[in-house]
Amino acid sequence: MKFKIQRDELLNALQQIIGAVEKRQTMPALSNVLIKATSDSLSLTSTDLEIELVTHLKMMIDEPGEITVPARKLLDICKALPADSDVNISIKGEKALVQSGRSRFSLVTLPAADFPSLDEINVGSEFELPQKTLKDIIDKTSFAMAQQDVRYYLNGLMLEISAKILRAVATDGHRLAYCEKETDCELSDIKQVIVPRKGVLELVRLLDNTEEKIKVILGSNHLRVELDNIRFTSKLIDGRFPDYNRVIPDDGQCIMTADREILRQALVRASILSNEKYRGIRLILEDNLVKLQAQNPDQEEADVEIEVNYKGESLEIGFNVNYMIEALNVTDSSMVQAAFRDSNSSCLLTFPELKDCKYVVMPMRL
Amino acid sequence: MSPNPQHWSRAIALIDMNAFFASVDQRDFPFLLGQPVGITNGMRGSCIITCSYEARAFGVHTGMRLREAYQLCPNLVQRPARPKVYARVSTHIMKAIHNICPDIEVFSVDEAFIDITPSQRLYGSPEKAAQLLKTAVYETSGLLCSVGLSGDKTTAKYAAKLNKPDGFTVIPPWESRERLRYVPVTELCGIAEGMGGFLAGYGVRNCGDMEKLPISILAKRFGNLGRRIWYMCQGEDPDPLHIDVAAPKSIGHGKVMPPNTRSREVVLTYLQHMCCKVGARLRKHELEARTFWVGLHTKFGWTGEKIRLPLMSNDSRKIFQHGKRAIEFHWKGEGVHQIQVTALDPQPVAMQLDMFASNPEQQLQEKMLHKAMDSINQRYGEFTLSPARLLNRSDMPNVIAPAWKPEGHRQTI
Amino acid sequence: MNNMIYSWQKQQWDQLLHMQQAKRLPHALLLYGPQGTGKRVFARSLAGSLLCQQTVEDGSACGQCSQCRLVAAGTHPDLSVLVPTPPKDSRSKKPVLHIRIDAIRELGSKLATTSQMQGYRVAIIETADRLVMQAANALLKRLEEPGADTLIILVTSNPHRLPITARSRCQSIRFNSPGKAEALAWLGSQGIKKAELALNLAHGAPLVAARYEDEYLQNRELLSNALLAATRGESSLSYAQKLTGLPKDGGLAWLLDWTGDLVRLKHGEQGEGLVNEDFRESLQKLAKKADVTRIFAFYDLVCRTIRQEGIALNPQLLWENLLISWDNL
Repeated sequence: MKFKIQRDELLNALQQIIGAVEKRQTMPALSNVLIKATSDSLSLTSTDLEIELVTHLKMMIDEPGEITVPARKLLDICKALPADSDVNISIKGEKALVQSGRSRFSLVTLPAADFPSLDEINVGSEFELPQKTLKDIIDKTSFAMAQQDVRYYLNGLMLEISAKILRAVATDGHRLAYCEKETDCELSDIKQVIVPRKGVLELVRLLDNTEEKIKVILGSNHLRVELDNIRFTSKLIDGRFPDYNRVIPDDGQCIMTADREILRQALVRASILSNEKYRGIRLILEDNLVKLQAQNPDQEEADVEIEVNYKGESLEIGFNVNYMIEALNVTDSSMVQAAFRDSNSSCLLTFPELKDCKYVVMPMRL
Repeated sequence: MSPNPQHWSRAIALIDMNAFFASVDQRDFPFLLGQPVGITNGMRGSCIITCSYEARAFGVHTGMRLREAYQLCPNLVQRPARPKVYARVSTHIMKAIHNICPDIEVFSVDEAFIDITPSQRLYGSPEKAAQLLKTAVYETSGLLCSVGLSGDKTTAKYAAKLNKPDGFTVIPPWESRERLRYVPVTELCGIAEGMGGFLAGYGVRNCGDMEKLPISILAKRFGNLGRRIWYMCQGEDPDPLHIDVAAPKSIGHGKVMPPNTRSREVVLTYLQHMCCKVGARLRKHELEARTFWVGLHTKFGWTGEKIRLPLMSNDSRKIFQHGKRAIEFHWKGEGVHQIQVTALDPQPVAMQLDMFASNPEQQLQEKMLHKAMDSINQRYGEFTLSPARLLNRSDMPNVIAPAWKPEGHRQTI
Repeated sequence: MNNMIYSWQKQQWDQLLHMQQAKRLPHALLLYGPQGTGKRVFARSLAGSLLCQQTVEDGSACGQCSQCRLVAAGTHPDLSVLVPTPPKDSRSKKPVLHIRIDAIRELGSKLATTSQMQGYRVAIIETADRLVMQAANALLKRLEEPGADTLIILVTSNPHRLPITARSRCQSIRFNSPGKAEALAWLGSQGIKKAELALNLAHGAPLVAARYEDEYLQNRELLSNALLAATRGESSLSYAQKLTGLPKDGGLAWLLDWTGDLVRLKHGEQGEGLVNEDFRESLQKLAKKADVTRIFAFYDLVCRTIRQEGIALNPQLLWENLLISWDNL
């Protein structure tokens, strides 16, 4: 294998995939990057056995071949080389030679066949959508994913495609975030996957707010997203996601509408004196008025009132204030609507200007 | 001891809120003033938790069945307890006291010991300092209290009891012994019937009789507690104030077993018994825990392990299930003579509701079942209702005393 | 090495192959039996076979395909192998090895995700009796509700040390030592000299016998010199210092065998099945003058000493203590 590449191009490619390189050195091969050179293209692959990242570069190759080399060392070398320089990479015996100007480096290699790369995956359904749509749907939901819950199927983001609608749902049992978008997927049957938390966070790092189309493949074992020059693949969580329709309430009789930003700021103010561990606040609904009360173990108290649109019986309900604030943080809609049933039932947050997302927050007993 | 009217070598005050819950209710609801009020646990509670002085005049007292109380006092006004309100009032009062004398042991929701020794000079005399405390309580809460002032905790508590409500009783330390001389020992806080019976066997009925009994007899039978009682009866209770009452670090129960027990069935029975007790105690205080220590004491020492439940719990059955695994893992059949189950780092029961609670109906049912069992057991005695394995075993004595004393968890209401 | 099994494991192999073909392979297996019968090799071969894309006729892995390459390189994403490890930040020279909760948790989260190569997911837990309690409990969860196409293989020579809750959730497969002829044939094929003696010393376990190469046998000579000193009219005590150099799995264990041989000679005219057959005559001499009660007492002493191994004892003192008792049998 032998090729020549611009330092900036190589650096950029390495930086895109370094996120999947295993930081703990459990298997030496996983701290390596797989370099594959065919006659007219170069690809770099990294994996931590849960997610795989591959970048493709169209370029002339002097001599095709494949090899794995330590990823972080190669990246550090690239960073240290002067900008606009050229880098020559070749294999000599068991070593990979990296040469630029009058600097030469020889790196330990491992055979490419020992590297667990993934080419073909079983395709379940496949569709295209603008990059920013996928980014938006993840941004609006991923914050509600559970973290190391024993219900392992909650430690990820549920993606579902049916009848041209792509849905994302995340929940940790205490709150749930739901968002849906239209796509051009022609499939009529429902396909559902759960993407592990780590994969979701890595994927969103790759996405931009552009209209550029990307390809999404929901496989039986994998989620694959093909961007312009990078391919992301993640394993899935092997489990059944709970029936989200069952827990999104539709019978809230007490409906309150408020200015989203004013409500958010009021919650932030009240949260200062809530119990640092449980974050409980009391929300009291009265005629066109919301009172927020918080109390901490030092018996310090916060009382915040704001005006809202509310007609109906007065209601008192407790919440983890963080869950409320996080749900209000992800949109820039001007108004928010909250529907309550009673102080032991979940609250549904919706936004009149945004038909596609909803949030459910379970109350706390205070 | 030289009688120095100005400064005492040790000055302890006890502040006792008179009929605390009832007084708070009478304060908050003026229409209750002058009425015989009985506080029960919710409107369904059938036991009087506490009652106002008006009701006490009819002979109603704490712990009495509601039905009985109505017979004595047909005009009794039943009120549901408002624990959160009481706790808040109590906290405010304790804070106010703290501002005057910082050395305070909150003994229960309505009682506190205050060490006045260091501040008597500041306020002039112990009596003046104690008077200040009484005023502070009234100013913070609008409630009257009884104050007992003496040189040790036991006498102070006895003194506070003498004049109720709104009392202020001073027993200078050099008078304590004489004042207690003809007081029956069982009147003192900390001497229960069992010990009273033991003392009576030695002819000790009143505190004054204690002089005749060598301290060694008590020390031999009850250890340090016995020694303390010997001093207590003579007005020299050495017990210091337990000022730093930390939140509970653990809740545990242990029991001595027949020596050299090798039967798996017996060990499991004891284990289940301990798990039930720990579970009930966690539930009583609305706590739950995830890590439990389960241990057996054999002649080779303690064997056992910290077990970790998948979720926080206070369900005796779940604790038992996991405890059983630990025992089966560690116990190879050697003779056991003691068992211990301890909940480590108990936390207040999760207040956050979960939308997927595996089966909300069932979960609720289990909670209700526990609640029903606990309340039956609370009224008719521990283990009236219990797993079949444990029936007729409630006579086994507890050996290791509960090791923690969080605020407000004592049963002195 | 990921596609071979030993000749004496054929029956177990066929049994599992049959189950797999009938799609009745359980999700958890417990491979147990005496040490040195090749259970770990079997487990790896089984894993290799399940992951291979083109198994050969007898069901074993081809060793050629990309999956087999990954298995051989130890990088197969769907194969986890857990072995006992020392505690984190342990600076002890002889740390206690355990399979710890972190390792099991990590395995759990791995098994909760789909297979990377879209085939089987296999986890091998070697020396499973070293599972700590919490780890065993965490593993239970996996054993109770594994995903599809998952196989967890527990390997142990002390199955009774596994919690019964874990044992009962696995299908147990027993491995025995092969017959003597088969074992000798195999040892011969491995080029082991003095195969019969080695097999005797290894109590019939061929893989243990295969380790008894020259150096081991030299060490044994050292021990026999010491133990037979009495027959030459010397005191064995002077050998104590040399004996401290004996390897860990020799030394005390061999001493136990020697003591056992004395018991055998005391009880049968012929003394059937001596471990140290080559020293029969000298042993007979020793046995003649020894008292059987004292032999048993000595046996207990050796057992106790073995249990205390690892606790820092002065090895020379330890051997002196043993040899004094030996001379007084």
